[in-house]
Amino acid sequence: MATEPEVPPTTAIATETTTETAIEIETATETATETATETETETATATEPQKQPDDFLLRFCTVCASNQNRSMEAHLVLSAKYPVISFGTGSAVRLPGPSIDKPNIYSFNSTTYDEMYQELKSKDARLYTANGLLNMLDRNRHIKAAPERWQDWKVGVPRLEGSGAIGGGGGEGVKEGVVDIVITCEERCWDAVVDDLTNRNSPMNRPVHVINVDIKDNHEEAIVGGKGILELADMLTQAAKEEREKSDIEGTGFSRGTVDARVPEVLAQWQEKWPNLPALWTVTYF
Amino acid sequence: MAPSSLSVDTQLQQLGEARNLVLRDPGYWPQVLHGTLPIIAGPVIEVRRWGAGFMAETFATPVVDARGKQELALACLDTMLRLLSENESEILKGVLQCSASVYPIIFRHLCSNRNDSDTWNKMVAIKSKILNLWDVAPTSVRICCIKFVQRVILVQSRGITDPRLMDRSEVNLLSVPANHPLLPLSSLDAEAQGLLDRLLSIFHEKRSEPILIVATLNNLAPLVKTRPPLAQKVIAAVLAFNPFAEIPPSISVHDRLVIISFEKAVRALLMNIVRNNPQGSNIGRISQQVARLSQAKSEMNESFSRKRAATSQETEAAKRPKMDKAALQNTTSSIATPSSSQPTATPSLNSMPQIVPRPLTYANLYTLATDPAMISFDGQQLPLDLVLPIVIGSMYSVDQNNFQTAIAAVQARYHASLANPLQPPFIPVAHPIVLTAHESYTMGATSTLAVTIPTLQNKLPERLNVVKQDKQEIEEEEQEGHDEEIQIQLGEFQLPPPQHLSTEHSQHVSLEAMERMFGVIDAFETNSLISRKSRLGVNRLAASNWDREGWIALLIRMATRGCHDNNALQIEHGQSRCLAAAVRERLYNYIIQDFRRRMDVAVAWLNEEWYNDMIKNRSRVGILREPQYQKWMMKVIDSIFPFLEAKDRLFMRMLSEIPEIPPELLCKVKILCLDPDRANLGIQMLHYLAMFRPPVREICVDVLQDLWLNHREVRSQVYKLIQKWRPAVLVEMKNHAGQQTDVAINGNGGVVAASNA
Repeated sequence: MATEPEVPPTTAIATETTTETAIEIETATETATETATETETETATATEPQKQPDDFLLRFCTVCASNQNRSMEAHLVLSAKYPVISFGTGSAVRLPGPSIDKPNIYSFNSTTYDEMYQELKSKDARLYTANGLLNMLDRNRHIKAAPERWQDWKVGVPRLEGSGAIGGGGGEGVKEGVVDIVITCEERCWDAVVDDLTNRNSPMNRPVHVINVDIKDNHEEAIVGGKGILELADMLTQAAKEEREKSDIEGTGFSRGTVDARVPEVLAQWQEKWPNLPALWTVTYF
Repeated sequence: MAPSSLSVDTQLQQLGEARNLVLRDPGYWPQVLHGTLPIIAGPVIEVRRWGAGFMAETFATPVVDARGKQELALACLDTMLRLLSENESEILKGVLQCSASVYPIIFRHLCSNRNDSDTWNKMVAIKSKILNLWDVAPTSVRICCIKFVQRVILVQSRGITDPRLMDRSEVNLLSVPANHPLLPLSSLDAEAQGLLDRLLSIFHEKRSEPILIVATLNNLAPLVKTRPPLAQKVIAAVLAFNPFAEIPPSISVHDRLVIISFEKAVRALLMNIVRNNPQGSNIGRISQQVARLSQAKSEMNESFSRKRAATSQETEAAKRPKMDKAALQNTTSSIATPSSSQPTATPSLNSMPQIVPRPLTYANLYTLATDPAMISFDGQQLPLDLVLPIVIGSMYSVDQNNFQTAIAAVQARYHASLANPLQPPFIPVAHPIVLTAHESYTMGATSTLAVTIPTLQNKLPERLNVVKQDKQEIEEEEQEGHDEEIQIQLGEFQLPPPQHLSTEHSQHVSLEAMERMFGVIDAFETNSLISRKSRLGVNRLAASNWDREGWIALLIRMATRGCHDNNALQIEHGQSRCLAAAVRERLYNYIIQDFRRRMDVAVAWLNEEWYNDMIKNRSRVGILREPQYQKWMMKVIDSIFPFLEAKDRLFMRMLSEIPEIPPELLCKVKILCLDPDRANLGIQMLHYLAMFRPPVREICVDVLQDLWLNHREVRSQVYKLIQKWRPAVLVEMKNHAGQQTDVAINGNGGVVAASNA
């Protein structure tokens, strides 16, 4: 199991900026929440209507190994516009330690980002500031309480205020506990997600697209990857909006389509723009 | 609940609040669903949309228990049937998800309520509507149809009968009581088989939607894992499906994405099946298929990158800015996303990278690209017939301003270089020129093109032959007209003839080369030649690949086949140090340095020597040639002999693998038999050879007989073998027994027994 690689000190600056944006986004979403709750209508599936087409949002889930760097960066970026949750597929949360054979290992779901932050700060504030870990954890603790493990996720169990995460999407987050698009940040995470979904036997019978966007596990690449993922989310949402405006899909006489059939095509367009983030896709079921 | 007189907005708002309520407290779910059912089927389309989604959510959510769902399912069937007539695909999607969840619930209900024909008829009506939709609906609805069909197949087929593995909560044909009036087992089973065939038929259809194929693949694992009667059919269909079957001649990013996604889906499915049942009967076929997929994938990736490189200049030029920008973004982690609008080119002479201070080369002089990847691209890799159309195309399409700027930039550099001819690092030019982003891409794109201009190449001044001549700059030169060409026209250039090599020198160089080759071998992982890929033996092509095996084969051939003329020549001249001899000597030393790990090399070498001896004997009758096999084989054996241990299987192995066993070798073995510590090894060896190498059997038995007769100390060990292979000796012995009883008295039991017999 790979640990998040050590990061040169220069990255501290980059993460610093992101943390600031995190706070900005937080306040932004708060105001958005106030205005949006008035008019917010509920959706059971992504393809459900809302009053204005502009309110229409796909729900996303980002996944990496430890739910720390890549998935959290993408979580933060997406949460400005979209309902989003995030997970890790590893067996435990692994963060770089003082040497390569001494990683800091925490359990998923129970150890909070804040506890990790405090612990690492008391252990060696200089080291963990220099390698960017403290910055990252500081960002993460402002997003949600603790890293979550994909395999432990009870899909479909409502995630209301208790989850404590910035969910985006008018402050409602992913309250129904289910998403439309899962984006993993590494091929083995994609493998883990697809395998896990297959083993769950799809009790909900609900289609979900699982997309892998290969991002190297360091702070710089995570930032680039986050932007790529945001653009992908924008493009998918745009396609979804176009589809639902259709009155006759593919000459079949059916109206108001959903994004599903266009995901591969949109992803390919995106891939042309982002050739350094190799993509992979499947459609499976929750 | 909300009366229909309210405005749509208010209704939706109320429904939203109701949903919030059930999400918070699932206890209210049945109540809310019952309350909303009447208006879900009502006239307001927005409410129907909401309702379809809410019903799907109701039967999907894990927070409502199975019993609650069963109750609700009975109440929802009418509404579902009604909503299935809609033509909005998002409503249909909701109802289909709902139906897939409800089907097993209703089936279970029917199992315990034999006569509820009303409910079953509704369910059958829903099923037939969905099966009709399966062919005509838009893709996004069809992926839900596929799911529904999978559920029907799961329900209407026989599950696992082993009570330890059975899932009690699961519904299948085994749950149906005998003689059920509404659920005839055979026709339900037949329907499921038919649906499965239809589901799997997508793999043979041409031009299916990729998403339908992937969705089908992702539905198959439960069928294989929990429905043993269906597993074989499903696995056969998946194994027959080739994701790479329809690779179009020019593969686009989209095609590639779809194909690798197919490949991944097949692989994920197969691996999931294997993990579930690692002892299954199909494991062999599945792992073969997985290996084939990997191979096909890497081949496709290879051809994809080749084709990408070869796409026409226009598309290259169009794509490169984006790619470069993304690359740039990665290296600098700059924050800007690639904007969709192209930056407009404003060629500027002032904002310029001067030439990087490197030794002055043509490549340096003409390279205007700033991208390191671009700079290192070798234009010579492209075939000429590909290059020509690209060059012509680019010359037509290149922006005149950019072109002029580029020429000016190179000219400035060129003059600067002429001004300081002896100063190798380039002096920055007076007006160093940096191409703007757009321009550098354009030029970068053209500079990847290569063209050969034979005239110019011939005229390269000798002084510049330190310059690693890249063809790419010649091409640019051509683009810039012929004025420069005239200036560097410095007369005919011919490569000087090579120096004459003296015999000693050439031999010295050959030996050095040989040493280097030996050096290479050790750099490879020592996976033994026994696990070699090529099984052609002496028919192997020596220089076909460059792993350990390849190098060893090459060295061996150098010794045996490579230098035979040389060999003869050297012997004539009376010099023993011909190359072949040197290689043999070196091989010999190489083997005995670590003979246990290099035994494979020894065997390969000795086989080749033997083969060569045979060929030589046949083809050059009358020419005196010293056979090499026996000489070197004995040398190798002699040198490893002292180090053999009492139970050295390795030695046995070696003796069994060398091609010919001369009597001299067996004498060696005999010596081994007389060594008290290693007698066993020697005798076993003889036994083995007698058993498995009939041509030497007689000699081996001779040796054994000799041991029996002349060496008492090993008699006990030899007795059984003699008895087996040459019992006559024993009879003879018996005849002499009376005369030589002393032999038997001090002997062991075996001999006593023999003499008493």
